[in-house]
Amino acid sequence: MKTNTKFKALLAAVFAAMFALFMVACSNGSGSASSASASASSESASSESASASSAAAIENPVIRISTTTSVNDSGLLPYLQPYFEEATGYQWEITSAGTGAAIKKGETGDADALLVHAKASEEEFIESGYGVERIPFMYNFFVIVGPADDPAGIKDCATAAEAFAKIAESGQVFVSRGDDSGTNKKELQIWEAAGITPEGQDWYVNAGAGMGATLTQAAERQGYTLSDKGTFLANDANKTLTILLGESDDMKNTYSMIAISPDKWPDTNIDGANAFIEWMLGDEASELIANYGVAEYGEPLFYLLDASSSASAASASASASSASSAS
Amino acid sequence: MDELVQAFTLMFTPGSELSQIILLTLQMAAFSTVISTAIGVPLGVLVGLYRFPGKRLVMRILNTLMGLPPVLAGLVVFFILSRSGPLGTLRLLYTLPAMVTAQVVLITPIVCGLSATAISGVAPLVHETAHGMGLSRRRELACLLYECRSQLLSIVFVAFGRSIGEVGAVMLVGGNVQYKTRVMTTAIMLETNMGHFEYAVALGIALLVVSFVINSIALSLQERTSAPEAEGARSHTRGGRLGGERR
Amino acid sequence: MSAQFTLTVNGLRKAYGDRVVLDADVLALESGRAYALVGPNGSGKSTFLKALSGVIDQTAGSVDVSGDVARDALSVGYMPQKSYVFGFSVLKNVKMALDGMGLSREEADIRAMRALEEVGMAAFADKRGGGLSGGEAQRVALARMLVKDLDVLLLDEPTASMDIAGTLLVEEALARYRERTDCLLVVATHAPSQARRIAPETVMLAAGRVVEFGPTERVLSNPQSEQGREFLSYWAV
Repeated sequence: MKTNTKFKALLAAVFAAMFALFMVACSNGSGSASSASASASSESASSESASASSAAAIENPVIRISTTTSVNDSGLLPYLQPYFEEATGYQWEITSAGTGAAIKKGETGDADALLVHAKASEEEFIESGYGVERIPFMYNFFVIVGPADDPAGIKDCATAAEAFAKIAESGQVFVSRGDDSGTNKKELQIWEAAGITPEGQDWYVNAGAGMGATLTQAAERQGYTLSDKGTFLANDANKTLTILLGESDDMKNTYSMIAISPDKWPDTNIDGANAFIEWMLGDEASELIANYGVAEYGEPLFYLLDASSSASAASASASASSASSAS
Repeated sequence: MDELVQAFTLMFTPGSELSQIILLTLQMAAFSTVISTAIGVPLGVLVGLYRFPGKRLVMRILNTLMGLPPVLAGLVVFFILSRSGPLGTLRLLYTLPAMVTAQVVLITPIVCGLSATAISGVAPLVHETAHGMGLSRRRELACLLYECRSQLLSIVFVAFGRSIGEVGAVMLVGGNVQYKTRVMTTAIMLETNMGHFEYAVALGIALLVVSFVINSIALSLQERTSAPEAEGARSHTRGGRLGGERR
Repeated sequence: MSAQFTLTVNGLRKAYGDRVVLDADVLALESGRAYALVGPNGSGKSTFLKALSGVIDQTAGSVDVSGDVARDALSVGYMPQKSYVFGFSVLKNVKMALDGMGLSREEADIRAMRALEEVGMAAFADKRGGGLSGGEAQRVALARMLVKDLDVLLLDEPTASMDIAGTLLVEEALARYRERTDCLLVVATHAPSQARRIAPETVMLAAGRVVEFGPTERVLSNPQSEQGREFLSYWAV
């Protein structure tokens, strides 16, 4: 009898705890939403910036940004996030996946804006009418990384294609993303340029993974791989692998933003997407991006495109906002 | 929809990548199941059968391990097998044995815990009965296992199901390498990441079909399990012994 | 003619932590006799039989054997209150009790069938043990006891799940078995009427202690102890 009441008390306690957790979870959700709107309104009241007026009229403060793992792994967006949210009153909801899936989210209406780096796929995306405009705005370089002793001897190659040919010749392990990502596409282009079909070769490891996992695997196998610089520098793989080839012309990696067209998905937050693009092209973001990584790695992880292309980008953003006002 | 049809056509093409993936998945699950059963069931029987100091603690640890997050199991095995790990020289990372190892770490506690629970449910009754008849300890154990046979069989298939559907650990230690360690779950992850949702769904359906077939076999096996042939244990069994001996 | 011996219970005690469930001081059980073990629920009947059968170890005290038979030579059968009938066939359930006796398959079959006939379960020989009713299972469990020639037979509420017809049939089977083997029989029962039918002598337990011991008729009609009177008052007709 005594144990029975004890058991009941325990059961009651467990239920109470679960209920409390549930309530906390709920109130947290609404709490953060209300605090967000509160900060947004205080922002609009105190700030005298141009964005203040638009912030006052924010209907939907959440912008869903779909990006690739390499952007996310580099830490750039989380770094920019507080500045952006303070300046505009919008909030970012960032999801990252391989480029294929990241773009797909735009097609299925699960994102308001894309931040990706796969030119061909992006252009196809625009052509099918899902995106308003492709706005390239920054770039960095892919790098070929490998073991420090460089058994394939690629260190002094002039181009990536030449380096790949040497790796193939030496039969050293090369770990490929194999996930149809921007990096993977770039890698396949280089193989093609080198006139080699790596698929099915013994030394060619198709990892089917994100950049981080691919680097880990390359480090474990002491093999070569193609990576974006930012992810490599941020990854522990840089303890056993080194950059053997970087900044050759055939390894430039351009990032673009695309607002999802409200014609296809009327529910998307086009105002938010435009605010995102506008801010990213603005002076504050430019300075932040140009300085990102300098303190830690001695060099920036991303470079802004030169004036001429950012001018075209600015006009593109203008057309994007005109599209939004049309809707 | 076209992609779905295409995926299924691929699946039944011998020598295709998909059939290779399915084969590898079954291979991995079979190895994992056999090994974790071989370790987990005897251990579970011991834990379920005998009283010993610290048994409650052992049961608690087992129950905790039954809920072990797959990624954690994967991480532990990863560290052990990685280049800088204690078994790094074996070069087992990103191989089938590595995946099987991670799954064994993951599944053995489940098999062990469930077996212990199944056994301890009937063990006291069977023990009293067998003792009263003067059966040998060996014969008693055989009868106990016989009584738990369908439970033990379903535990084995729980293990198999867990193994075939697990993704976190095999992703970590297997590395999802094409033709080498890419199994159905990691392939689904990859296809989803690449935005090939239809293909991923087709793979998922294939996985379900495989599970269904395996479970059907399990059920019919369960129905067919018949009495094992009696093999007499030739020991002191003219009758039971008297208790209450002076000590 | 089986061996003559006496089982002497000496301060047999079983405790789980602080809780004493059995504390029987001195009791002598003679070979060839039948004893009923009565008492209310929780009086320690099952524990007494378990300790006697050795399925549990006593906390203190002992059961000693005296007479012209060695302790290890005694063949003891114990049927627990919830005797487990295994999933295989009823016949096999009975035959397994003959394991290790070196009988041929045919002989074992014959003996097992005879035991099943004794308890009226011959028709069930090929049925699976899993699907039996409570009373049927108890009869099979009893057949598993009767199939052997035992020196000591300990039965814990052997007819608890049976109707009166089954009960009487089993009691008759027990009487025939005793006539044949001359075994020492101890039957735990909660019903004084059954004690009267099967055993000339009765042990009454209350709260783990032996409160009455003697000829059944005297114990049941003229109990000496207060606990004995209280227990029997519920059965007064």
